[in-house]
Amino acid sequence: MQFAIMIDSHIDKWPLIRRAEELGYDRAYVPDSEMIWSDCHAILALAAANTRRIALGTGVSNPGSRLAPVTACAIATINRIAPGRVFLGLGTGHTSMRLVGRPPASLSHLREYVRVVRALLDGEEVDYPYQGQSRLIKFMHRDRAYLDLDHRIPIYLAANAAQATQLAGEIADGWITHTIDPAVGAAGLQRLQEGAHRVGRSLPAHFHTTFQTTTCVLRPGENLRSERVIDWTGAHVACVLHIAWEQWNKSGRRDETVPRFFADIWEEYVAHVERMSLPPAARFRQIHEGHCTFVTAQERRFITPEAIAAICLVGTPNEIVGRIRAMEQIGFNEVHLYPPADCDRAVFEEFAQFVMPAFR
Amino acid sequence: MQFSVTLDTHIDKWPLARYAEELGFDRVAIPDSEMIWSDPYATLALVAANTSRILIGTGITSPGLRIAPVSACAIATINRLAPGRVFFGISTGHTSVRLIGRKPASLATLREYVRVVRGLLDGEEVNYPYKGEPRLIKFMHLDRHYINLADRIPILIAANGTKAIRLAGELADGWTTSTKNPEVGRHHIEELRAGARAAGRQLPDDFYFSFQTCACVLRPGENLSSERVVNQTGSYVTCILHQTYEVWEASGHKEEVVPPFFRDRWDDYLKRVAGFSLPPQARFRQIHDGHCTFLQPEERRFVTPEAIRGTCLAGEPDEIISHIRAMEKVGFSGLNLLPPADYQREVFRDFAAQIIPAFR
Repeated sequence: MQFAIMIDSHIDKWPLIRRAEELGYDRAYVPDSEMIWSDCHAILALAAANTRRIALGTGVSNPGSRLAPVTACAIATINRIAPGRVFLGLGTGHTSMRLVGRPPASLSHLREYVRVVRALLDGEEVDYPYQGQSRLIKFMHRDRAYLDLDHRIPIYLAANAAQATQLAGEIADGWITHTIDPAVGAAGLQRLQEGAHRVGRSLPAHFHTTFQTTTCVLRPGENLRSERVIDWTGAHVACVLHIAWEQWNKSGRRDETVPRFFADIWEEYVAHVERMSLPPAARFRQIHEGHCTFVTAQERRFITPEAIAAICLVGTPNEIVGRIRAMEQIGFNEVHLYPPADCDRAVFEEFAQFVMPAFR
Repeated sequence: MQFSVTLDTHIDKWPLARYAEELGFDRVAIPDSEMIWSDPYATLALVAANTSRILIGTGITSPGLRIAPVSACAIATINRLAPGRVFFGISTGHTSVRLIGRKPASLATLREYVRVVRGLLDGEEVNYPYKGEPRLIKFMHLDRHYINLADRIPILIAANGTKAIRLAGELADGWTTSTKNPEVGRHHIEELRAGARAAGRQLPDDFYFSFQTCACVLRPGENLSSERVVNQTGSYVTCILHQTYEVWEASGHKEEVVPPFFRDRWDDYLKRVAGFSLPPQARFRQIHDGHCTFLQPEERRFVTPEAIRGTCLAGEPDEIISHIRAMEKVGFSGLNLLPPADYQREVFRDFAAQIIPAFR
């Protein structure tokens, strides 16, 4: 089992990635969301220059922010600083798109984007059509080492829905998903195999499968209503709540799309969104306020024990170890932790101390 | 007079920016061309972290690579590392788009892009329409300092054509152009002021008027045919040659767009391009090979004394100083050097030792 961290992309936070390396973490995901954080490649440059072992990459970027050749150049630039330690995580885009008022990319867009990026990173000439006409592009000046294409950069796709997960099985080197439920995870792994099978591909043994969550080791006397536990899980739970709202809204407001653990608070949350002050053309800024960073004071009431229990690994060290083992058993080879910004260091330290040793 | 250098954007080359700072240069510009160089923001992150005085920024980027909010976030991230030392240089795009087989952006696209970037960098809410519908976007989480908007980031527009120069006068904080001819420069500045006037704008006193060139301080016995002089100016001269070819091509093959200093070898150059081996949808890779980095060996014959004299400052120190004075007199306040990648230190050192002191 491997262990990874994900942080809010803050240009001042590269020391946290170095600390994670010292603590024994295997990988650091640096997300890409331009309206709320710092530029991911600038942070990755500093993180790469200040670490030696930990794997680094975007976690995740998306096709709508930069042209495929720009993304390929940027990640291969980081690979020059940290040769062989770099990966490229891509999804269809969430807050990176929604916070500029756009929808996530389609899967066909993502597929095409990955095709171009993959070929460029492999040093190949690739057709990158412009207005329907063929354009044959290729990285140039290779002998001058502006980029490192010699150490292969794996591409990981973030996906939760069935079709996106199948696409990961079809074309990616790894899969990033968001669940701690072994049944959901097993279904996802099945989709992954289906996608691979569809293109006659046999997934390699080292195919990267990682699930995202956050964690809190309970201290004596604490439970899921304790202030500290809410502090340590709140932004993560709220982030899942906001996504659930987007999906519910997109589905035509079908309540069956709402996860069970939000059922109790759903009506109140919907009313909360309805009361937001910004007009529809700007409302996304209030919905995603604090995204994976902090929980707003008004939304703290939605961080219920049911939601925390369903989304985060909270409990005694043994309980947490047991739940990770269950995910490992069905085929996951990494867990990555994405705690709120104000307690991330403490979460990483605690997890490294109480949970990781059981796997080493 | 301010003195600036442009580097080939190489992730390993931040020490060169520090060297320029030590030599007394005022600015270092990091260009953006994803098919030939490293990522500019990753490079700027390392430059910012390793310098303390020199102004740094993109020199230049273009609207076709990243959506405007991503560029605004990236440059404001660098401004967090180097508060108040950062500028954002932009234009319609040259090799960054041509080397993926696309065209430079229209001035309307550039104008719209600058509007969005400027609004965001000013911390304002900006309408960033999606499919014709308004979207009101704004940088969020500002109290957490993911980016620095408190120290204003000036926007510089690079422009050689009349309409583009007028646009710079209308909405930029500075301008850069690639002529070293005082008469041409004077005419350009008149256009720029006309653009400002037409927009009802009074140009601020600190508006930055700069020109780009390459310099070679001649040593005793040297002339414009000397090996060392050709080495130190070659990739700059051919960069102008390649750009001239693109302008000539776009003009429908009008001979009058070819500068006099290229005319005697123009037919020869056209023959060379006609003989390139790559098909039309990939030919741009051969035209721009070595762009502002190295001289293609077969193109050494185009680096004639006339072409060097027409594009670069090559001469005795006194000649170069008086030429710069002439540019200063018509209104320029900055000069930018873009030497070949293999001779940067030497060019910077000679220039800092023999030219800059005359202006201090």
